[in-house]
Amino acid sequence: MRIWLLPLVAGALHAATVRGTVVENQTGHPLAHASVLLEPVPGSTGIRMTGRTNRYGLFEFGGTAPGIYIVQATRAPFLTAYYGQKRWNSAGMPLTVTESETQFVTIRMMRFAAIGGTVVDENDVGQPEFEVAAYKDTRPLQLVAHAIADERGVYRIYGLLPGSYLVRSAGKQFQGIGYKPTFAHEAETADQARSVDLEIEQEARELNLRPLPGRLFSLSVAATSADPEGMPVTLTLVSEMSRQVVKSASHTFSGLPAGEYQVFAEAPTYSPEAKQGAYERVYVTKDTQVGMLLRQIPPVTFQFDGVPVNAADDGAVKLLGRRKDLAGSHDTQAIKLADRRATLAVGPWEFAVVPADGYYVAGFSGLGGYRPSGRFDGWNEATVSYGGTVRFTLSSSPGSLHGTVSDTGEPVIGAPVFLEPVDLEPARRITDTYVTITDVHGRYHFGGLAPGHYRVLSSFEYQMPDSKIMTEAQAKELQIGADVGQDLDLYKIR
Amino acid sequence: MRQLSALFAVTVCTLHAAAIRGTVVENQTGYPLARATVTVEPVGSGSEAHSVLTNLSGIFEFSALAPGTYRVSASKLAFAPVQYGQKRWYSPGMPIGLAAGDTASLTIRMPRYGAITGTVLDENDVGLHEHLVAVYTNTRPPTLVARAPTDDRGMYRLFGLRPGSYLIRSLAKEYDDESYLPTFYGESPTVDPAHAIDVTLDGQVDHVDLHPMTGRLFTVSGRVPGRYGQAVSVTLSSDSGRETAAVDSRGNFRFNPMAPGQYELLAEAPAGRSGGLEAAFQVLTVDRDLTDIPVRLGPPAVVQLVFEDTGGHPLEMPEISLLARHKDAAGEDKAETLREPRVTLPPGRWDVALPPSAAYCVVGFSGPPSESASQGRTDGWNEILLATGSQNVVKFVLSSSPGAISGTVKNANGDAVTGVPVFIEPYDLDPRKRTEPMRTASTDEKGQYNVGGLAPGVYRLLASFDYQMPEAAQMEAAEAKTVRVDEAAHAVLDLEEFVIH
Repeated sequence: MRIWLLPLVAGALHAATVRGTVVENQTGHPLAHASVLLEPVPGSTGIRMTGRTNRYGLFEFGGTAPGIYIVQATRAPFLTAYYGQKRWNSAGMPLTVTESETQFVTIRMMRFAAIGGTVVDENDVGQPEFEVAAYKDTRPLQLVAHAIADERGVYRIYGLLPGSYLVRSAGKQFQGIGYKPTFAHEAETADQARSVDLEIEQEARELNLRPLPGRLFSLSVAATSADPEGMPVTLTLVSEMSRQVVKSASHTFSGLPAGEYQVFAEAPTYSPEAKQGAYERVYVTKDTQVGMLLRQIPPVTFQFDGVPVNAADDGAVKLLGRRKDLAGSHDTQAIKLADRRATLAVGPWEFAVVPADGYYVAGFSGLGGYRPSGRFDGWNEATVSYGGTVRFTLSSSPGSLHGTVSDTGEPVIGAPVFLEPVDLEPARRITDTYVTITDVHGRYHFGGLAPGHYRVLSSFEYQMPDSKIMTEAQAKELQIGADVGQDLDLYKIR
Repeated sequence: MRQLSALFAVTVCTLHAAAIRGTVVENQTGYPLARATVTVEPVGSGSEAHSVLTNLSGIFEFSALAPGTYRVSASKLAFAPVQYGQKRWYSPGMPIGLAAGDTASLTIRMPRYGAITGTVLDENDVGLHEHLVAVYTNTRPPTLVARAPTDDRGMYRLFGLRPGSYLIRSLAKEYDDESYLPTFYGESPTVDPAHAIDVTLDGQVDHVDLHPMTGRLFTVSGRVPGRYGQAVSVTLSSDSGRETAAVDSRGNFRFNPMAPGQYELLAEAPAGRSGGLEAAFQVLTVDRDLTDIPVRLGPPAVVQLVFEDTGGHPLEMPEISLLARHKDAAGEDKAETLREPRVTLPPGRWDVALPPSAAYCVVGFSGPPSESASQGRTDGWNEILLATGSQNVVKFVLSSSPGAISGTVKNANGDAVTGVPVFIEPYDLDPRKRTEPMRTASTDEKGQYNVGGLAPGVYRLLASFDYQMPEAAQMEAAEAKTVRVDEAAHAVLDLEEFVIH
């Protein structure tokens, strides 16, 4: 059901009204055109309703059924906000709506954080047009965002979540001098770099960079589309710093520091269903030339053992994939199969399966590459080259977890419950943790779980706690093999 | 305008070798500028110019120079170029005279270009992110200079601007349930009520905030049939700039919603394995949703260049080749040279021009007409409209008896002025048709100048050391003199040296 602005006349007898305003956190200015979602907690009466604020930042849901709801607001470029949340990363508090009542709520939307500074030369004069990237201060580093310095050398990287970051200027040949990638302020390695801790809505300034001079190299790529010939080629050069894309069959990438690179060449064929491509991994230590011959890529066959043959085609098994390169993982895409096959770009991939109720992923094999032992219910690496089969094994005896969340002996309605698979390494998890919320009786349930070790926590303090938070909150550790019952006390930060 | 002449300091001392040395610094901070290019150009000797890069401390040196007079200039990316001794940013530099054994020590201060910043705000003064903002010259019609998107706070910054007067405009944008129309600073949909912004070197004008007006935008989409897998580009141009739409595997394209107005659509694709290009050009009036625009690619236009004398007799193609530049609603591309009498060009609007020559002048022109082409003199850019696959004849009529202007330049004391630049502006030639740069001459030791190869028409002349290349407004402000030149005629116009006080 979609509600378009206000006002709506309550249609149902004894129906309630939820109205409110969405404002900018820092200024209190009304936020027009924000999307507002009213979502009933499990087991509550009422239906999901969406609307939008008007130009005064007001929204109204008339004809709302009495019940318990989570109220959420979204608008770019703000963080998603919830009614009743304590902090930027807290969960929303349920809103109880009773018969014939009007509830008025205010939702404050917060902005992301930003890092700014100047790229300067030896004399502290701003250096124009340097690319600057922000990384999460983890090992390995995770590229988050980048920006180009303006003519004064000033850069600003925005849209950042709170956390610890490093910034680095990219390698660049500039006015006859080669500059190596350099962390702020003048560091070659991440361990020597100056990190910055960002709070929500913070503008960290003065994170200046002075790129270090050093030898840079070029990488000349000549690609030929052979199947068929003469098709337009797109080249992508990837390093841990960035991805550069050029629409050309031959190109010289210049200003490259020594290091490892990936080159992807892609071209269409006469058929929309087929592609041609080639992939090379290159270690650059001098000016280098690479020739690439593009070949038509046969489709990859996906096999799902342990489920009916047509499970993938009829949607009972959902296949997810994401390309992976030195710069990190691409966005996740749902892979559509035709006769259990799909044509995919060549290069490293990660695959995961979201099985139907009653199954979990118990095994994975195929297409070479990394073979992790242990659990397979997360991302699994494979390298797509020319055809082949990827096999997932699904088991029909998954584990499950259920229980009740209470606070001082009373069941808690609409409380988030987080379940973290601790023996599946974080990088391989499809999501950091599984999340559900308690129903109107305070009960929760997770199904389709692979056997293994988990930690469980219920709290309004977080939307998605990471492993560190789960440890600090002393999340309950569990071994799940079949159906497990575990009641929980609501965790609060005091 | 801050006087650039105040930025320089010269010390001339006598040493055993003639030399020019000095430091290049950032004007605002005084910090040394490393790797700036410094050029020394001998004046009047015919010798070659020499360039060096400043070292890490911003220092440069030209040693063992022959005695003589030199102009010194400096350039560096992101800075406005500087000539040593300029009175103003648009003035020519003052030459340095060096005797044997002299050393000139210079400090050259380099200013940065100007910038304009502000925020694009909605009805509640909340910044609108990813909203394009354009800067135009404050001329009629305005000329698009640059565009920049707003950041997450709705802030934009347009930089690299030469000193002058500019207009700022937020461009069309569709959000989830609200659309914004192109709106000039001053909350105006049209040019004339818009507020102009004056920009200086090293100056940043802040708080040029825009409140875009809401209104209806329209869908523009269509199809390029039969082009699966090929790199087809479809570009829509308007006075807001150019937008390129992705073409999917079925040949379908769709632009972001567009404001009402006139647009030009150009589609281009490689012509199969034979090489070359196929293209299509259409003029669109967007006053409603246009959802099924058929775009049929075809061969490029063929242009036969013909040259005749005033008696209608054919002439060989002049050795100075023809200039051509593609143009659309967003502006003109860089001029290219056509060296063959028969050429193929992508469809659309083009300007063609013959550069001036002492041997002839252009007195007539004909070609496939364009609706927006202006009449009048033909010795500048002439607009033509080329249809896809069309065969066209473009004819220039050349007179072998161009006109000329000569005269003497004196200063306020009545003394002849040697070496002063004389600027000759074709006054009754539509400014949009003028080829750059403006014609110039220089006076001899008797203060006399002479310029030939002029097409018939009215010219405006100015003699001054204070400009490198004056703009029309500066010619107007300096009260430049006008004179009519007829075919084969020699006009005489004496000038007084113009000095900015």
